[in-house]
Amino acid sequence: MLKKVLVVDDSNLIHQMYKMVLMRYRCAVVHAQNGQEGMDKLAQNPDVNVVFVDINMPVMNGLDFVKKVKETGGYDHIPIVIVSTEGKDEDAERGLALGASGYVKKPFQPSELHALIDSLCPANG
Amino acid sequence: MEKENKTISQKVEDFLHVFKKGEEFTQELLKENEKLRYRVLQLEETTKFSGPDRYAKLNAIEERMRFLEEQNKELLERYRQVEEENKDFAGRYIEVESENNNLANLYVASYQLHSTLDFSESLKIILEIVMNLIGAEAFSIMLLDEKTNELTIVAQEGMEPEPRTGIRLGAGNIGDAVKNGTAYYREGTPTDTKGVDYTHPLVCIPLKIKEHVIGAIVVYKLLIQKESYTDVDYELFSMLAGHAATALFSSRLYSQSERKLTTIQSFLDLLKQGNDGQQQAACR
Repeated sequence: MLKKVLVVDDSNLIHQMYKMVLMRYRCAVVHAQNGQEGMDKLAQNPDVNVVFVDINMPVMNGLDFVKKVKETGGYDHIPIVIVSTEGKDEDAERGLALGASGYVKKPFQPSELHALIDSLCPANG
Repeated sequence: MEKENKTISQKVEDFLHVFKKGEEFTQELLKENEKLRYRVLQLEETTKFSGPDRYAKLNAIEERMRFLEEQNKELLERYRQVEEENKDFAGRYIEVESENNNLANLYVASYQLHSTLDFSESLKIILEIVMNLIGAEAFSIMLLDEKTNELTIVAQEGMEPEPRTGIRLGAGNIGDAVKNGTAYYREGTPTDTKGVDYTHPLVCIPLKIKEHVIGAIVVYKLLIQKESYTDVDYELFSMLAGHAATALFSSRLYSQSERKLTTIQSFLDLLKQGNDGQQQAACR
């Protein structure tokens, strides 16, 4: 089954990286440059299986995005993964407290993403 | 007469008795015979190979057993070989996957590097590559001023307090690496560093176009989660040495030519305006 992944990150480099890594894992990737655009993309793509969101972004950061998604309702079933760059555990913990389902630290290995996707949205789920 | 009759009847009775006994005995014999036949059959069954061809049959069985044992050994050997092949394939698969990931990183990095002719955009992309793909926390991009032979920081990330800019060519690890055009890697584990030492970087990668050095990428500290360099890190450093150099050089050249073009255009416009003014004055 083709899985749909929403990537919210302000870096084009990271978008392309996700695309390369996840396409090989039979995933369709939808991109957003910030949290606000992420909300719009989520509304346009309610069949998204998992969201990867960076913390530091302009307009709306990753933590605010998680908060907004949880407040909005209707997307509770979609797991959100926080992508942290600085290696600060506090950011990831704040994200988890807000309702994120997991976190990954940059630079990540493709296998880490695959494992997260598998665990958060199993094929028969 | 009567006595004679009695004797006869007595004899008849005796005969009948003997006959009856004989009948019973015969019956018993028949039963015993039947039992013995059954027993003989059983014995024949159990001692099937007790005949003259007994050794031949045993030999055939032993031969068959040897053949089956050989076959069993062969199958076990084949199984072991298949297991080895499986392990080999699994190892190869991991290797290919890792190679794929490395290539993906390199492809994305080089694609992004050459996706723009804007100098500041090129710098931003290099910063992103070093931060997101390599995992550096404190690093800078330095360019060499060929007139003063001094390296100056043009972009940096995570460097607080900012180091003094301007490193003479050949001075210290950075100046030396740039002068020689060879990458410098500090010995030991990269995470040994507790703070940022601007005089002793972890890595200094000279940016080269062929043998011409235009600057360097200098890494002072890696992200806390980054324990050591991976194979792809060295590949990325090597790729950056060439591709980041050409990307920066071409984008700077393009920006300069754009500026020159604008200046010339403005100059031409001024000339044209002056010319038009003179013509108008002459007409009056």
